[in-house]
Amino acid sequence: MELQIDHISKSFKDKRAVDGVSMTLTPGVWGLLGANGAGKTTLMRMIAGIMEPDAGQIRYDGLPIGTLKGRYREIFGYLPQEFGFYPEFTVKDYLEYAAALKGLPVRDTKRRIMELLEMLSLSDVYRKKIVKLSGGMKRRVGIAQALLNEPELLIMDEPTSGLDPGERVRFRNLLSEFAKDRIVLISTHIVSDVEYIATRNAVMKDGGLIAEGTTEELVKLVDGKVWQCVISAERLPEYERRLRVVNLRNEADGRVSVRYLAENAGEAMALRMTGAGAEANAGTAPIPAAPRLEDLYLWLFPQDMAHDATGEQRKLVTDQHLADSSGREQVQAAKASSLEGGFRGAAGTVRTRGQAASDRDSDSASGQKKGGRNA
Amino acid sequence: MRVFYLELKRILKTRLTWILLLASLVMTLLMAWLPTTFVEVDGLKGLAAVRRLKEIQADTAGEVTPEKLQAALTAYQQCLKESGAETVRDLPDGVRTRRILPVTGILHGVNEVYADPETGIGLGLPNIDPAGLGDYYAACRARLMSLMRMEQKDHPAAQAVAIRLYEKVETPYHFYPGFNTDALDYQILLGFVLTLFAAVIAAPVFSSDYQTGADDIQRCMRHGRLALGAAKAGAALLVCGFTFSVCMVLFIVITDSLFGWETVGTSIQMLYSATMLADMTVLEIQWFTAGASLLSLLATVGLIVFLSARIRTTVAALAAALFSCVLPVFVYFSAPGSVGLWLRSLIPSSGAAGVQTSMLYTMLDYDFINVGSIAIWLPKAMVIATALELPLFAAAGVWSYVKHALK
Repeated sequence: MELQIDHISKSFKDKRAVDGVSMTLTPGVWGLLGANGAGKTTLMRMIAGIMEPDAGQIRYDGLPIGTLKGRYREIFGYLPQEFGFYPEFTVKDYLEYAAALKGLPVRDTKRRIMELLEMLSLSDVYRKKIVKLSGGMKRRVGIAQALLNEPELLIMDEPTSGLDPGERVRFRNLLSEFAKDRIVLISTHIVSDVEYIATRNAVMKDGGLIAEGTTEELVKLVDGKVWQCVISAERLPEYERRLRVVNLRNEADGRVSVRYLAENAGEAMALRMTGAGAEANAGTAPIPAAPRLEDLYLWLFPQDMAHDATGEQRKLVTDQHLADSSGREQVQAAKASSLEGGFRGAAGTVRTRGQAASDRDSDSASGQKKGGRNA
Repeated sequence: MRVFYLELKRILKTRLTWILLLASLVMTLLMAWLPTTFVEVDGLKGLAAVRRLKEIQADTAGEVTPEKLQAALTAYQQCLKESGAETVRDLPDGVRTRRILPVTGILHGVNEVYADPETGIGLGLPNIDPAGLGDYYAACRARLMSLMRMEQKDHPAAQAVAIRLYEKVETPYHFYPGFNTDALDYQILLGFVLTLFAAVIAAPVFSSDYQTGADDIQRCMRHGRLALGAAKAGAALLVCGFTFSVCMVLFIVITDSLFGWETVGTSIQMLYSATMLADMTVLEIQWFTAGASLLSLLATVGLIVFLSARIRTTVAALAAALFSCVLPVFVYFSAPGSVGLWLRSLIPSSGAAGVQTSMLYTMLDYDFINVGSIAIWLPKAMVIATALELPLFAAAGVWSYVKHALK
């Protein structure tokens, strides 16, 4: 069982939303990571068959999904980002309607609906109108409809948005169990949702696939780039200006524990020893921290660090800092090169955008169509 | 079938549908009753006036023979002569009710039939020789021929078709007093209102799913394309068609019960033009216009379903749907001549929209679609067109839905 996404592209007017994406999805949970506008939703819509790609092909077990038609939809489950429903429907009405559309036999419908209601803690609202449910409950109804036909291929776009932490944990566990012998693709920018359950992850940026691999493989890309130190609270604004701080924690002694991203420890070391009263205020020396998927995400999408009051300033400073050191283009190239290095270092199990392009070139040269997955 | 049943259930669960169904029922009852309130006879109003009118004109009920016409015209003219009045307006109310009202019903078409063949202007009942009414039905035929020469001067085929149609009209006509043409006008009006309601029900069929995003999910389901599209179009057609049929049957039953079931045996020529081409009684034309309007409504719903499948927002789909309902009225007033006739025959809502553009009023007229030596009476062309358009638009709607893709 595999879903091959072969050089898929899609453009909207002047924007190239998906740009030559190739990957092969195999059974397990796949996390599709990327910032807003990275092209995740567009890619998912094309996999769902509700949007036609401008170029490329999607194949399920070797057959184009366009030719499979109803047979593809029979094994398919989909939860879009916006869960549309009829306002007049109760949860029961909606799930019965969806079950009929999915072709579930009448005798199995009630049993399956009851199972899912129980699983998703929706039994109490079975007869309530969906429109009157909370955002999290609505989302769970959406998840229920996607799971109704026990799909072999399940695509969920931001499934955990609106779920509270407890619901998210339950959902992750449910999905892990469900994903045995099935392909599950979850798009999210909540990294923790996929960090623990994803068999593999794909990272999209500006419409392209920039990395692919297991969580362990991907975090290696930022190995040696995640640092932590403890500083005095007075020095925090300066650190925030000069470094890509990903986490802050107030310590009991009034100092602040800082986790940040940097090519090396030098920047923080220099910062530590400069400024008025630097010695008196000096904190601990930076030490490498164990990288997490979130660190990789923030390394790849620095603009996502700009969501708080100081974030925008931090991003500007970061960009300026990078540009100052060797010119912005060079820094971008260095970043890509660093990713390539990560890929190579991971013994070829992690794909990058550069490699995808190389695949494409070799495809063109050989005239063969092949899945994007690395051997 | 299960998808169709659930889709039907879904439509019937929406509050808007129930409001419109209830409004349809109320409108039906109101419009069936209203025409009786317009009748005024001998100081009486409403149903009492209808009963009084039937009593007054009882002697003229039955076949409209030349002898009856001659006797009625003689009585009419004698009354004027004895009263020294030039017109009936000069007569005292009592005299008019006692001597003129009993014969006005049966003399309905006489002035028209004996109009000047060149100008079409009626001579007036006081100036028509009762002896000439001996060949009344031949005069009707002659009047139609002169009328067709004026109306279809350049189209002899149309003239010939009109004569052929009229030859099938049963003569002598029948007249049973008491029925009021307001009832037929209100039937048309009810048909138009129900068409507008149907437009409101059908417009969101696909477009609201596009707008809410429900379509994104449904489209990924096994039966979420052709089966769902057909179920949605079918359910909209069924709900609208069933509602229209029930309301029309109810309207006709109530109207005819109020005016009296014997009155609807009257030949339609005794209420409208004496040379009308349809061979029908009032009851027959009630059912025919109801049936033709139903066909028109269904074809209109088919068109709206198609528009709904093409338009991405509910508001835009509703605007387009309502516009398609009133389009024949615009065409009637802004596109005269053969272009207007062609458009009226092709626009599916023509038979159900407006009064002047309705099937009944089109049947009162002598408009033909002329293609070379072929002439088709406009009502016939409209029925044929809507019968073809209904499956065409519905299928196009379903096809558009199946092929719909996000952009």
